[in-house]
Amino acid sequence: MNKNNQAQENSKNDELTPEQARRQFMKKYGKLAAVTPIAVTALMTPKTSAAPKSCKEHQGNKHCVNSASSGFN
Amino acid sequence: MQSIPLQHKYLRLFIEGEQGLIFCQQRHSLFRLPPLSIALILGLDSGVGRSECLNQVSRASGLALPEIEPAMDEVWDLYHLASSNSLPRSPQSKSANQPTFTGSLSRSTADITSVASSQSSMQTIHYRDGLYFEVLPFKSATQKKTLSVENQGIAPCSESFVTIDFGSIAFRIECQDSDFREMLLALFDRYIRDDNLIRAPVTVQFQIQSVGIEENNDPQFQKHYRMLSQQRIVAHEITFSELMPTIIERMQILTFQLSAFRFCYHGAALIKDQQLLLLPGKSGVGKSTLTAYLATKGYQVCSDEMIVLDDDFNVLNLPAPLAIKSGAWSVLQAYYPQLAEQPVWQHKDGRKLKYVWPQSMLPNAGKVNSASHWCNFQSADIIAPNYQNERPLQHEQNNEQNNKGNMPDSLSANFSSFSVIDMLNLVVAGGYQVGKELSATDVIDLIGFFETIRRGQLSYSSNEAAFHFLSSNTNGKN
Repeated sequence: MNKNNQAQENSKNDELTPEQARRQFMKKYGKLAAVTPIAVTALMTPKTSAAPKSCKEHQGNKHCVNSASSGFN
Repeated sequence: MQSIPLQHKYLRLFIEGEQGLIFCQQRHSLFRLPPLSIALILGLDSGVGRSECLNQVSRASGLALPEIEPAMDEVWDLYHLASSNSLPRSPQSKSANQPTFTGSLSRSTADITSVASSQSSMQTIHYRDGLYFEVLPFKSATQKKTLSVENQGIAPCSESFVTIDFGSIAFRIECQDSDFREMLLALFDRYIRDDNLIRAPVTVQFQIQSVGIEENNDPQFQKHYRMLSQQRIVAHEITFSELMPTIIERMQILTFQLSAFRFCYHGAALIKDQQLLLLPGKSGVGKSTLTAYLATKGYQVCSDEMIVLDDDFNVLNLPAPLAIKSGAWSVLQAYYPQLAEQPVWQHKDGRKLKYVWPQSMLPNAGKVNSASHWCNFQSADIIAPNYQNERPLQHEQNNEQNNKGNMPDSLSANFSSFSVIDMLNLVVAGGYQVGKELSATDVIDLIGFFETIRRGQLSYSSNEAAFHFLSSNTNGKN
């Protein structure tokens, strides 16, 4: 598949200079800050990478609240 | 998605609309940035100091400094920890002893807080650490050599063994409990092999042992079991009804971890007419029920629990029966009459389930088993199911696509497009694993993959409605 190459090409074409981006975001974020979360969130880190399971602690799964002592590793 | 070149050589910044992603090469970690943080990152990257950066952002936004400083604390650590072996604290940091990361992902929030407060923990954790111990010998440089000799030394065949061969990996399960053994044989019927006919290059040996029953005369005493893999205890205090889900989950995880996987996400993967359909999301949103329904409508099920992608974003065919939760038994009974006869099992969270095989996952009896393999496709959709439980759907005017029209409510479904960042956020929230240390190339490729496919959430009140939407809104692009 050529998805990867295509994506890399797209990214190159879409590059802004840091100065352009800085100006753009300095203008934008004032109004955005009021309506969007202000926190940085981790999406993928070594610590949170684990085999996906149907039930896992701290995953916000409503069914998995009381499964702390299940004995599964 | 736009890539913003930074002076910082270990950070990569991507912007999509009002949000951003930043990849920290040194930490192999990807973070989501709100607009304020993007501006602060860019300010710091321009070379100005903390105070000047704060002032610039304050002037441009009209926000008071105290409103910006918590975000600066986060960004300061992110920016400087990305390139340093020391742990520079921001000079006016308020976050040294209290978390300031308040994102929506609870597990991620905890993680990033610890990133800021504990340098040593980040230095010692690697993606590889998430691999199960059975897999580690095969992920070394001598993988092929090890694989070729792995099947030597198997214990002699006996009646207490059940051997399940998925082609790339076989599981040899020793179980003295004849009831459970019979259930294993019945459920995995088409994958059962005699030991001398195992084709898989790797065999993992499980043992199921009952614990403490002999000493207990209480008739109310619930028999418990423990599970060993390669002679190590991997699960204990399991009730009989939890045995099957425990074994199946471990078989699935070992199968994908032994593969050449690049990413794995929690969800289902199906293919129809060379079109891949990925159904990501947390457990309980209706993935398995929809998957089971679609399997009766011509979809080939690649996997029900794990979306496993290789370097070229092919998807792994991961054989396992579909876990149908109790709420869906009546809904699916007409399509899977065998549900009525299936034993009831229980997840560790208490949910009851039955197992059924989709027809596409069953090998023809007597033929060579090649169940686990990579599936190619021409185009793909990634659609988060959002089952609305019979409530009338609220049709929003800004939805890009819906099939309401003159349809009855039973066939209505709403599709909301997601940005790449929103989709990525949803996908990782269900659980994920990276096959090796995450690189900038991995992130760029992943973004590219998401960019090229249709992304969004489908709200529906019946499986028929979801199928109707999928049938009438095929994604033609590649």
